[in-house]
Amino acid sequence: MKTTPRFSRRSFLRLGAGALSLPLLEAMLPAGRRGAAYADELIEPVRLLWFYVPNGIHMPSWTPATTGAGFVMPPILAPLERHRAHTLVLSQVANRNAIDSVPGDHARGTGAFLTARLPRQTEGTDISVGISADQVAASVLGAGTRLPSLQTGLEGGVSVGGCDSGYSCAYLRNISWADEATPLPKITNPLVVFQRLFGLRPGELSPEQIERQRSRRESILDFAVQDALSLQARLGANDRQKLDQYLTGIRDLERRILDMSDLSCGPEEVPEAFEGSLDAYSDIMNELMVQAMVCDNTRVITHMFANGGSNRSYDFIGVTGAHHEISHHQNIPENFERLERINEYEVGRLADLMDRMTAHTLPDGRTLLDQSALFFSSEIEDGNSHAHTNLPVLLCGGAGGALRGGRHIRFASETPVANVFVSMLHAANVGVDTFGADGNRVLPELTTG
Amino acid sequence: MNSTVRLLLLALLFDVASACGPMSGENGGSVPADPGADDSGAADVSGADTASADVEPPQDGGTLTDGATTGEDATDADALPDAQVDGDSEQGADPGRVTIHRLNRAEYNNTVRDLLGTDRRPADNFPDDDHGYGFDNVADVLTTTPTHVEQYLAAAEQLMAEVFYLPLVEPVSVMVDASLLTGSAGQARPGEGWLLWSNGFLEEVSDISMAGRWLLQVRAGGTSAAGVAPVMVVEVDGLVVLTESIVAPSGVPEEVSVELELGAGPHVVTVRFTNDYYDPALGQDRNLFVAGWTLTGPIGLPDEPNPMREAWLTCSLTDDEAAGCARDILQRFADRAWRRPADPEAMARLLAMMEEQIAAGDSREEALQTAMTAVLVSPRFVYRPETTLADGADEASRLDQWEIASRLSYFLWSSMPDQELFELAAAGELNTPEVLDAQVRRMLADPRAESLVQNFAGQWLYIRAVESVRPDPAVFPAFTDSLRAAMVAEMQHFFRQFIAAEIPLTELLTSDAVFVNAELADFYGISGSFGETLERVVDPSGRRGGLLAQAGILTALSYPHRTSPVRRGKWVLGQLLCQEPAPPPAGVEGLPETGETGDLSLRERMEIHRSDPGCAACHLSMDPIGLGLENFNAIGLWRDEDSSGRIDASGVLPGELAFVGHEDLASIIAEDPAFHRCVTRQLVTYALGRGLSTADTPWLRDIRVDYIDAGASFADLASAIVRSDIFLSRGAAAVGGAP
Repeated sequence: MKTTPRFSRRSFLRLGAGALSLPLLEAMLPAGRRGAAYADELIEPVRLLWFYVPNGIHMPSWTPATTGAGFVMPPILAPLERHRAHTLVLSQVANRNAIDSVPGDHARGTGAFLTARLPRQTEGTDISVGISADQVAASVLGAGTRLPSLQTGLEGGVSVGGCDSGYSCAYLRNISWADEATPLPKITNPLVVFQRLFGLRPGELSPEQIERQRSRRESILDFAVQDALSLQARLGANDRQKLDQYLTGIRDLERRILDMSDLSCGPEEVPEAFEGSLDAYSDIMNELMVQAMVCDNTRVITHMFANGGSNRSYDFIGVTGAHHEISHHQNIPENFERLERINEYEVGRLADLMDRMTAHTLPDGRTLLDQSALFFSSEIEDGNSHAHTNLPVLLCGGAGGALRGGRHIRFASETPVANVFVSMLHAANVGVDTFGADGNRVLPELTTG
Repeated sequence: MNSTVRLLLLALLFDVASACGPMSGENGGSVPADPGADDSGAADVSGADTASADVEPPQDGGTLTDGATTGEDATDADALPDAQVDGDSEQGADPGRVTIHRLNRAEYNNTVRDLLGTDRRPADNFPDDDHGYGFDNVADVLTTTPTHVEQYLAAAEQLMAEVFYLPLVEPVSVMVDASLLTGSAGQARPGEGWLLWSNGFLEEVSDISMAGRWLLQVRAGGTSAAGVAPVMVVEVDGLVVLTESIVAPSGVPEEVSVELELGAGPHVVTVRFTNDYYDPALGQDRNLFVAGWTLTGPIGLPDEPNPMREAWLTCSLTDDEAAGCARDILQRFADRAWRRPADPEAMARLLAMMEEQIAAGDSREEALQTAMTAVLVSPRFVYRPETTLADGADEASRLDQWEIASRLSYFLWSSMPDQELFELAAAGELNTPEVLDAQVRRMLADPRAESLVQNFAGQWLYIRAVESVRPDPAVFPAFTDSLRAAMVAEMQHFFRQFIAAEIPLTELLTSDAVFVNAELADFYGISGSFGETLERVVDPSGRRGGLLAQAGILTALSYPHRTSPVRRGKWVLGQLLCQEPAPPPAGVEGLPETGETGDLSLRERMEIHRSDPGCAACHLSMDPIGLGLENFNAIGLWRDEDSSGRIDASGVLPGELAFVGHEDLASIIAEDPAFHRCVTRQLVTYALGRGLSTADTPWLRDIRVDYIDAGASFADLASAIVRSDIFLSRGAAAVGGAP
């Protein structure tokens, strides 16, 4: 640690002043203690995770017949029986922000999924929707973790073709939005997720070598920032915006390089690139997400099981045809059965994630699942009707006590999904009163009666 | 990662049988509708009509096609006088601006390949590139995320480690156990060594396998007497290499070592005790005990040369000239990596960084490595900056020579300029039509032009989609991965022909050349003996030939278990004629599989949606094209019948253009003036890396006329684009193109 008080950018970073707009206190605490900064006593922070599946759900095999506790798990939800106490099934949740009179429900539904805003119909460069709930969470919860948030996914996408009825592919491929025009792309490569979370670990180097490496990297990033600023001065407005993205990335990296504390937590082995089944792929990604939360590298995660409108094939579970096409079921019973199997598989992957979270016990004796809130849904309800007024919604986990699971709640009147997000944010001590276009209150039913 | 779960994401909702929306802009895309616009979709398929609005529908990746008519386009473009064809277009027409362009994955990989000679492809780990207007090199949609920046640092560190890597020969060790020798005096202590109790020596010949630097380590102890330790003298081949007082006791020998230069072959090592002392009266006895010695080497000997290192580290970084050497290497590297003479202020900062690292303890070589890593992380490498007059400048300005060189190389090679382009730029010669044309042709003949197959054709002709398409294995067990690979290869070979040859681009549709290997020939029913590599043949049956008969694209435009005439028709209209129909209105269901339509043929079922006037507008042009291709099933296999009987591949396109079978259809499309207009738009979009708008119409027209006049080959089109001001200049303010 340099003690000479030179007036350099590095001094700024170390003192936490101005340059990074971090709450000063948070940044100065060692990683393990950061939970204490926003509560008076030492409590575990609440983790938030959003799990997206495409093309809707076959609702007749999803919605429990009765409300309250003790409901029978419908076929699609069967994998969650072992997590019944941590599962809330919500009915009458709507996202009216995805409704418009022109085609494009997949793009609108996915764009509005976590933003509760209507996406602008454009394939060009003027995409616009709104900030997503996870980024609202990240702006508070992310201040003390290595990564403010993490976006993962299991489907990249080929760069050919249009996407949906005059809507940019960006709306289908992203659910996290930093602001109305900036999607946060998901990482689909487990190796890159690993590097993002646990990379920069020095491995076998001695403390002196580690220090030298850190110092070299700081110099390189310092140079990169100076170069970007000097270049920006000679560019037009559009171009400057692009370089702003670059600068944001550099500063993010600098922060992580400086914060080399507690590097001991993390998986031993680097995941290998693999050509494997969806099961294996989902396993690795689920494990990485859990490790990220256990090591407190991030508390805010979004996961896209596939892109909006995905045409993935599920032939490995005996379903012929392509997902999106099947979801246009034309009321044919055989299609219902195929959809049910796909949906049950998807819920099974959520259950796997919850298994892994149950297996981790936190210092205060609770499990990671107890301390988390997981939201599971899709961009539409029925894949044929493309409606958005009674979405399939699960809210799982304990959220530190804010969620009382084991029930099917049918809201008395149509409830905006944005209010589910407000409730999740409150559970994590992110005190917002509104969210999106129609979120304005916490839902007390989630906690009590 | 190329996981097998990588999937096709095509337009999803377009194969719907019923109503498709009217085309006059109701969907509110990014271009305002011109109330005077003709129903351009149908009009152009009917062939050139000089009185009709000869419009340039905006190519925005697949929605609207409402044309906006500008004054210049009211007449048929082909009737313009030749004087217009000089690249300047109308006075006052602005060439538009391209937003600063971030290297996409292919460009990053190719650039480091050409800069360093590496085989690594670091960008394979970068996040997927977004795409717009049909291509993933469109600057406006290429965003930079924190993951990108992190990967840039990791890639730069790995690449520089590879460049600086000095592979060394693995050293070997030869061990001599002194207890097994016979000294000239003294005696052995078995298992421990030899005690020289009076002046004498031990000697052994060892065989040195490889010339070089060797380390000789001798383990010895002894007994002092009269306050003086025993002295050990070590000789190699009779020459003294080491003289040492041994203070360690015999029981716990110490190790002394010396480095030697040795040639290959036998060498004698002699260990001598020279200062014996014995006084029995005082009980003083000085002795030397030798446990043994080891020869290890060659140490620090480079193995095979690292060509990447040789290319850059051309002078010594350890002698007196090292500082100047490092500066020169860094300057040369930055000039190349940043694709222009390096900004002096940036260079000064790099040099200061190097000195700082050296002051902190790194060697000059390590400091140079750090500085070169920074060069690759800098935005000057990762982006292609085109510095500009301030916003609000009221004229267009020509790009400078280095910017033109980069545009040329990234257009035709998806990579950095080569030595010849750099030299022309340095000499200021990259600005006359003759030189530009000559460079285009040279570059198209270069192997690096393969990038056009991978990146231009890969996206324009959907070849990339073929790589990940998944027909239902239960319905089409014949569709194996190797068959798919052959289909992809066929499309690539086919397109490759056009890059550097004088073939008109219309032959993309009408050519009778087919590329097959054994598996594909069998699939196509072409007899002959073929190997594993693809060869060019002509199909005697006439079934194959041209793009529309290639199994790859036909499969990519089908569903997993059945064909989709609407998708195929829409693709031809959109990709080849730039006349993609508007999407269908909301509330439309998919095509009923069977059921209420009973046993109608596919053709008859599709008639249903053309009987509705609201749907007919689009389907009158889409459906006949798709139905004309119905002889090719969902994996592109020829069939004469489908489930409802013999296939009728005839049809009529708007304008009463009748055809029978796909060859007729291909000719009609090739002869439509919209084809040349569309190819021009596609390649200009790719060349510039931005979407096009109505403001670009005059440029597009000039380029098109120039290219058709010259012979309508790919090279003619590329040359026309490169010589146009739309490529060589930057617009005044944010007019046209980039918003």
